[in-house]
Amino acid sequence: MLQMIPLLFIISIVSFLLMTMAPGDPTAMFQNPESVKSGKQDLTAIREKLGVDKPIYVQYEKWMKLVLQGDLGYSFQDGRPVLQKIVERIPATLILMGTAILISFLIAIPIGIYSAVRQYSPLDNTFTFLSFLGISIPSFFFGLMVMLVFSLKLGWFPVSNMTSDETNLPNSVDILYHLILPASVLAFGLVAQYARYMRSSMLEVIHQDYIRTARAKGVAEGKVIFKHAVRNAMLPIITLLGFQLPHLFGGALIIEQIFAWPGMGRLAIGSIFVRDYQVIMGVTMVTALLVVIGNLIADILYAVVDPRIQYGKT
Amino acid sequence: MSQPNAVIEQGMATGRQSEWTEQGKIETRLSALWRRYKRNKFAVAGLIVFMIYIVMAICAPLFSHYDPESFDMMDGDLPPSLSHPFGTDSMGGDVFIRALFGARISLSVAIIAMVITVTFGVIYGAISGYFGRVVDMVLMRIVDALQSIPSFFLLLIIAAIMVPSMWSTIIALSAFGWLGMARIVRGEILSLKQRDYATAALVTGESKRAIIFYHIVPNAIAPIIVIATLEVAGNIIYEATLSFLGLGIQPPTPSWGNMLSSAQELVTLTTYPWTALFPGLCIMIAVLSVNFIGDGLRDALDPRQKNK
Repeated sequence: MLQMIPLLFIISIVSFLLMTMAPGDPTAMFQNPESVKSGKQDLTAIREKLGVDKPIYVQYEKWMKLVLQGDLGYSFQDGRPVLQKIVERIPATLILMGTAILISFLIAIPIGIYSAVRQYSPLDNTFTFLSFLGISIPSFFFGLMVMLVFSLKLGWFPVSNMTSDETNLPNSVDILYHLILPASVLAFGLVAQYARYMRSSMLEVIHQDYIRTARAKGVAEGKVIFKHAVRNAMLPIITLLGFQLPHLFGGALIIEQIFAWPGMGRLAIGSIFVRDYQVIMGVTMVTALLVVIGNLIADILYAVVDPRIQYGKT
Repeated sequence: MSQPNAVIEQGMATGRQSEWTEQGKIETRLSALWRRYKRNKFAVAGLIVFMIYIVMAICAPLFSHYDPESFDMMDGDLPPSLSHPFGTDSMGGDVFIRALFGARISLSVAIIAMVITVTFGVIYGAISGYFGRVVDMVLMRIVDALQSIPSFFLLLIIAAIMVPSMWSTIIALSAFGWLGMARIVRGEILSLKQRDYATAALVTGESKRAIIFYHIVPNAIAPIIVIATLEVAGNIIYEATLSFLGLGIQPPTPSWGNMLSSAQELVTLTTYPWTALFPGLCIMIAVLSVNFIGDGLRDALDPRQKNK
């Protein structure tokens, strides 16, 4: 638990340093090239107002003090509070990621179990090949192709966004309808990884003594696999999930960009292009915080599912 | 580990080589590696395909009767045909030739970035693992913290800080690509430094640097090679994604990623799908073959794991 604090502290320093290293000047946005009036004095005034003329450590200290009070500053772009901008984007990202995880679990775990039980069977080899394919396709390319086939050619699903303006569907159904494509694309890469992981975890378990014991006692094979083996093989998957959260955020970022999904990733990319430091740092901090919390939940979940794990005792 | 084999290899070089190979009792490390590697058919296929990529990339100018950076607006958006096997893009550039020259950029970026991350990751991990205690704790906390930030996010920030170019892309890929390598090497070193030969080296008064990089690191070479290979695959995807978003290699210089960025416009995607399809397939097949090579190397370098 307490490890989280230095962790977040380092993250804040890193993201702050990265942003101040940036040569791009946020004041460039306020310059009107056609206006004669926006001269040097105005620029200096803006710089002073935004506080970007002070030394880095002063800026960091000022920023950190506010962060600790839950104030992530204001966006250079539209003057709105950063926290508010991020908070309104969090649900969209979490819905997208949550659905993708759910889909990938539902597909990957049966595949993993089958592949382990029938190791080196033709279907297992096919799954192996497919999962290699899954980790080798860049998600933006796969996203574009899926969009081309299912939305543009066949017209089954909407191309982008989270809701449509003109629709008679209830809001939740409308979101679900828009969610299917991006969530499936995000899930595709995950299925590949989870299935591989489940397969090797399962292979390890079914060679354990207690499985042999169960078989020797005459327990039906189906029961051996599903009751004795699967439950134990699932345990490492929980850790993997926590471990992979940062990757998942990165993946969601690209999917959001392609499908114009209004989540944090899209906000981040938009802010990077206009060098809106406050928002970029805010999103970095919030994602890192979510990752750390996610890992904590994974740890707790692991202890709940596996009674052998006890924290605080060595 | 490598010492006795070097002796054997020397012995073989002095004339008894044919005799021994015929008996099939002694084989060099490399041939043993190859014997195990070629059992994996996918890995062999991956190696062949990747070799073809490298040869095509090196010989790219031989194939082209069009300049990759010259555009003929009159010939824009042509579908694939004999004179333009992959069609042409909206600017009239030949997609096949651009993909060929794109391979040069994309593959060299991926490989150079891999060399940088491996060098840095191995040194960082080795120092952390060998010195342990406070050094290890501090160094690993930094890795932990950086790994909690989505790596792609960091990549974007770094890429946005610099003026986009080939070297800025390489720096962006290297800046945080070493984290995984550092962690793995550190874990290996932690266990390897307890071995007797490490203690023996210490007793004979060798310097710490010699112990770490001459005695310990070479024994961790198997995981390092496998991760380095998989890193090349990851780098190809990351470079493509950055260039796709407009933060990596800039047109007119072709890279597989930036060839796809025009497909972000839906009209282009629907009407001229080949401008997106072929570069995308190039990326996919390259990454796939590197992943297969990595998988084959993993099995070949660590035969114990396979039989689990």
